[in-house]
Amino acid sequence: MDTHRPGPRSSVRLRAAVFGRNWKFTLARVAIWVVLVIGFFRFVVLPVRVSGISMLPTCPNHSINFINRLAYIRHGPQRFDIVAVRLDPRPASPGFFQAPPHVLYFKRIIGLPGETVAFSNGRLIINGKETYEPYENFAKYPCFWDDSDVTDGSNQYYVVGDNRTMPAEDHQHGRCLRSQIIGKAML
Amino acid sequence: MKIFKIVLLAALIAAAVWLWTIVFPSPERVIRHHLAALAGDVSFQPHENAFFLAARSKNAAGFFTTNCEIIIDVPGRVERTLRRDEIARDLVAAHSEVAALTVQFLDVNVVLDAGKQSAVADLTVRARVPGWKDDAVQEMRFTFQKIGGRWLITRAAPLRSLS
Repeated sequence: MDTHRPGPRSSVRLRAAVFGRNWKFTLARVAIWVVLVIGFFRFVVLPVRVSGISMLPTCPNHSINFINRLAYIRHGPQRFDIVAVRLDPRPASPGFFQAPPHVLYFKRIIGLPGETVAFSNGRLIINGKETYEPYENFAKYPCFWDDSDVTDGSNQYYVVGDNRTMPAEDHQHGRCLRSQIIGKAML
Repeated sequence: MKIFKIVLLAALIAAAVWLWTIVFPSPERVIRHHLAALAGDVSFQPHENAFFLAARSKNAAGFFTTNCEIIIDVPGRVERTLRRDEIARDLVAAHSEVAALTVQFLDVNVVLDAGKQSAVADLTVRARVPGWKDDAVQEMRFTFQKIGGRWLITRAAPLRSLS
């Protein structure tokens, strides 16, 4: 009867497969990968879990999304971008290499710097003109918000959630500083 | 043997530094510790002993000065200004109104004044109550003052994240 028993050669192969030919290099490679992955998911693509209903139906409660922190390196935030907004409004606090905060607002930009934003019977009014919002389905999700004119400063963006069926006073929306915007949602 | 001595010396120095920070904590560390303790005191789980809840509520009030001002403004939920003598009473009342409450102070940023006699702590308050659709989050500023060797809160007010 011919049986195959693992000999010294196969144990060497197994060790080489697990630890590599040189365990020191393998350890260094693992350390570099760990640093790269942590850095990537902290400073480049930030995974977030949506908590709350203010971005319904676009982003359901408890859904997972990713924030591209490099999205606005070449250009500024655009209208209708979904962005993550830092709660801390102090202009001096943010910095790219600062660790991202634990809690962020997840909102959509509707007003750009210098624009005047208002809501009239649920419709978005920008600079006095009604603006079509392609992501809103008012037939299915009616909105009756009435908010008076708010003019963005030169460094401010007006952000709001997509869920306009909830009362406006329960829905956090308004102007944020450019420095509060961490990045753009990827999904 | 020489390497062993160097490693041992480094470990001893590290332990001494760590002990020093424990015995003589920096004001920032004390304030952070106070905030963590306050969050723990105002949080409660379902079916907790009423006696301990009352004791913890009283303990929470002890983190504030007698003439403090606490402004709570959670849009659509709570909006009121409290004084110190109202803190314990309101916390006891909260125990009967909601089944449980978990309060967290996140992203705490402490800035001391030059004389190290007062400080400002900006943080995000996250409150979780079973039955609420989502967590209540609010950016807040706590103003501390060193009175009689203790860091006490003189004011707590919300910071408007969106204007």
